[in-house]
Amino acid sequence: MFPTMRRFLAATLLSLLLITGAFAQAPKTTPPPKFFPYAVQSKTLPNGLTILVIPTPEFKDMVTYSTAVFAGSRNETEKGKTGLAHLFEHIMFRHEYGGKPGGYDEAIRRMGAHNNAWTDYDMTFYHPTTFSQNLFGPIQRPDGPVPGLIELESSRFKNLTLNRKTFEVEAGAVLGEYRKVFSDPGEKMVEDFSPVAFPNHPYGHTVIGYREDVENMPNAWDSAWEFYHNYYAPNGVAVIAVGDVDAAKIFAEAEKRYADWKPSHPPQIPAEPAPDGPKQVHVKWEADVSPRLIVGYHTPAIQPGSKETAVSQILSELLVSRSAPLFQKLRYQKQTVTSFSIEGGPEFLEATDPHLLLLDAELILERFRKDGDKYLGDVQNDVIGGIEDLKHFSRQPKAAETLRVIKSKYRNDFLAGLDSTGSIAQLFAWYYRFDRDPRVLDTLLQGIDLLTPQDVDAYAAKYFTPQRRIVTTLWQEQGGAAGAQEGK
Amino acid sequence: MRKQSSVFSRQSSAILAIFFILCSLPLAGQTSKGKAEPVRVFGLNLVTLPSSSSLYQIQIMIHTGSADDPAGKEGTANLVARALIEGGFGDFKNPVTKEKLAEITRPWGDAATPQVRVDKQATTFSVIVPRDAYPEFVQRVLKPMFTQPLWTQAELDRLRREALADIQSRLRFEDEESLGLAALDNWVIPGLGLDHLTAGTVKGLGAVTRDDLASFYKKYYQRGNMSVATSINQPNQLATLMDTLPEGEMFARPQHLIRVTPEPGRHVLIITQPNAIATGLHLGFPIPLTRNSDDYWPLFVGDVFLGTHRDDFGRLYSDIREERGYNYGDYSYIEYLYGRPFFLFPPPTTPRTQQYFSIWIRPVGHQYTHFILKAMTAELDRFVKEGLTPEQVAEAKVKARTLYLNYAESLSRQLGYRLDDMFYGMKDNGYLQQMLAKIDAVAPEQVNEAIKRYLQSENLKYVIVTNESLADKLADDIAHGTNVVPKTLAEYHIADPIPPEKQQMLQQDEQWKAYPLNIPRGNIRVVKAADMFESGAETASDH
Repeated sequence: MFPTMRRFLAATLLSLLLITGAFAQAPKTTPPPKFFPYAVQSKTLPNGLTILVIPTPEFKDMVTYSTAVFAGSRNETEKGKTGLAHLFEHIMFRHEYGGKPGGYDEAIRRMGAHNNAWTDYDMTFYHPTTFSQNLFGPIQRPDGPVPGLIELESSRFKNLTLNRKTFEVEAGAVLGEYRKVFSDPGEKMVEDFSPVAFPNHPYGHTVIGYREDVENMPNAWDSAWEFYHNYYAPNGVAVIAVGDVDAAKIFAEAEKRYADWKPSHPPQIPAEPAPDGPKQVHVKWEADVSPRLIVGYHTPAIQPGSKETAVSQILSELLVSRSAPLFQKLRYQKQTVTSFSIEGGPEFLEATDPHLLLLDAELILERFRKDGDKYLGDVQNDVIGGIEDLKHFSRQPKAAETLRVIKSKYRNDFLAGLDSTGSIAQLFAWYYRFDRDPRVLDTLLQGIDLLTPQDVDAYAAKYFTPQRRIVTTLWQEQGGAAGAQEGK
Repeated sequence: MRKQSSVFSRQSSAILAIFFILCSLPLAGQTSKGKAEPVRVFGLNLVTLPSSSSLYQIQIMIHTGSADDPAGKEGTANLVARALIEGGFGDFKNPVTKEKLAEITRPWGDAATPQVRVDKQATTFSVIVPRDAYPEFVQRVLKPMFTQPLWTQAELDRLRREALADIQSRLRFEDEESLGLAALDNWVIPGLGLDHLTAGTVKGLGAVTRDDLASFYKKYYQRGNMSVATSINQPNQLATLMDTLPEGEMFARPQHLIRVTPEPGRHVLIITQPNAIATGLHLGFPIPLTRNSDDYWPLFVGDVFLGTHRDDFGRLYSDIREERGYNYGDYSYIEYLYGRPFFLFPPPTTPRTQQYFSIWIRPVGHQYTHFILKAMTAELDRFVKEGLTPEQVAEAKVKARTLYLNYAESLSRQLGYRLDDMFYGMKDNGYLQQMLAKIDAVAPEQVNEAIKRYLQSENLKYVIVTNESLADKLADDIAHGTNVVPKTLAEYHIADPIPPEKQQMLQQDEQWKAYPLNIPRGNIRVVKAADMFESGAETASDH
């Protein structure tokens, strides 16, 4: 009723909380601040499928009608069958809509849509974008009617039709992608240390899968269908529509198209016991590249709104941004590395189960040839020291001010990232998977808003310990330093 | 937070405020061919696309770029733009250095640090800043940046080193595709200052001094020579924004209006790299057509059919890559497209008064170079002669409409297109505003007429990037019509009996093979990558 006054009160209370740092959460009587600028409407069907609609009328006549499958390489629990989640990302475009080979693809082309997808550890995301009117069929075209996008998408997700030959050809195409990805030293390092870091959990293999599994994929027909039936099910999927749309119309059409989809009972994911490091992995490389060092720490699972998740969101700003003391030490003061970043990006550690923070440094080849282990050891000590120093973050001069600036930056980067229907759908889906709550983005940002310097200390003390550390190195073999242990 | 109101509407009513229109004459006579036209002058134009976001977006285009580099000082425009941001500004005793700038803008987010894109005729600064920080941003960053540059020597030296490394190492030797694209872009339109890299030349960059930066800035960074597109719509805040820009009048620029006609005949520039493992091919020629021409959309639809950028829709792509597997992609263009090979869609803010048609064949196996050179030319020839059937036009129109979804997907892209609109004199009937309606209205005969009017296959410039060890023989083979090698049946994975669709493909191969190029050896030049972009003369039109 009095939005201005309410916001003022909320702001005052928040600043009090920040000063005392004594309370974990805003009092229940005060509505939490709202950061996500769009309303989210949702409906869950009896079979468990949730449809979320985020109207953004300023993107006139456009809609991204996305389907988030909450399964990725994390759900590949069968030995010798890695890479299936990514294979499905390819195969889903080969759906024989109307019993016709290439039928889905042809209908999309005649409709006119931008259609793509991606796969990650925890989810696979399909995100066609088209004109809002194309959601509902039949769409009239000179060469005959085309079904609406909701019908087309429901058809491939609930009732994929595929012949074995198409499957085998597409499975072969993934090998080409494997070759492309693994000409990158960083990717190879992740592939090699993952099984050392996660001997039990499927995070032990990368999203694209092991080479031998990828090569054998054309023979994985039965396992692929098992994966599809386990995870491409209404209880493991959310439909997220963002754009210039009418939510009620989408709910009605979705009910019609998805109601007969049967829920599944997916298998359990094996848990990983507490890490027992420190561990060390070395990768031999054939080309004459800069030596690489990746220092990793096991980090906790993401739970939007929790203090630990809030800290995890700002780690990249604290450690590898241009203003971060560790970055400045390595890049500007000592100039011992030419690049210092988080391998896989800050989102790498945003995972359903405990995952890893990976600090990635590129070293200078000439110096490594000359000084070898001593140089490498020096950089490694600096990186470890910089990370573990966060245990005393609150004692840094201006810690509270630094945190205030970082929160503000996070908020503004978050808002600037909401710049298209596709990016809004993706950002929403990325965090929605953690708690399946339409308020998730506000919950996430409220958590960050409430952070104190002491929360950073506590996180670092708990997670940045030698037992949780895994260090990976890579260089060309004749290059120099001897003595590193090989992990596998 | 707030209920969103309808903005970004495709109607012109979305332009709520238009200020400071000193002059907005349309770019006269774009469709007429071959003659110089009356002088076009730019006034400072402003368009706002209000948004309910708590962030403001600001994009400022200065109507200058590398085409205005002084002779012998190529690279000045690029260095001026970068040094404005990173070269220190404000009070010289307490300047805003690049480090200080980063600290000031940090709480406002990454996008609050100004970014700049420099092209040949336009330089565009963009920034996203929270509404509540806007007054402080203007006072501490935008105004001193635009009005009190310091041109610090150390920063000039650093920016120059980076620009040189980009040319001497990255462009010449590390990215074969960018090298070919840049070389064609410089060669296809001789003179007018359009024939050197936006980044400059090696010699030119070496010669630029602080004084050169200051005088270039003084001459071109004037309010009268700028356009602004922003989501700000408060009149007083807009006034503050205008106040940040250096004062000054619009001025004339007659050289931009000269229409270039293609040089007669076919000419080849072979650029050699010591380690190229495949060969990239390009062709192009100037066309007297820009976005404000009535023929633009018919030609756009035709070009979507021939070679949609980074898409499997175009005929070149489906014939050369999909059906035959020669390479990773094959595309055609009726406008310059910045950001290749990486960008999937054309970014706005690189408008040009003189455009060119081009075809880009991504690297193919060395042994197929001559065959593919003939294929790309034969396909252009066929496109010009046969045009499109009504069914092909209908399919291409559906695809062309789909591109709107990407071109217009974000506010920042929409603002960028508004800047282009002002450049092209299309302020009240902008590119994105008209795109869907114009595509819908395109008739098949208009497509074929536009193709015939603007495209041809006789007067072409080719750029080929290949391995040093093969270049001279390739030049001789092209001149003598020898060594035209398509893939064998085994390489095509075709087994007997040959299926009918493959027989058709093989027949087309024979036609491509027999296509006469008629390029005399004197029209073929071989240049080492190491010698490219040295002074700009490598691609000078000396035939």
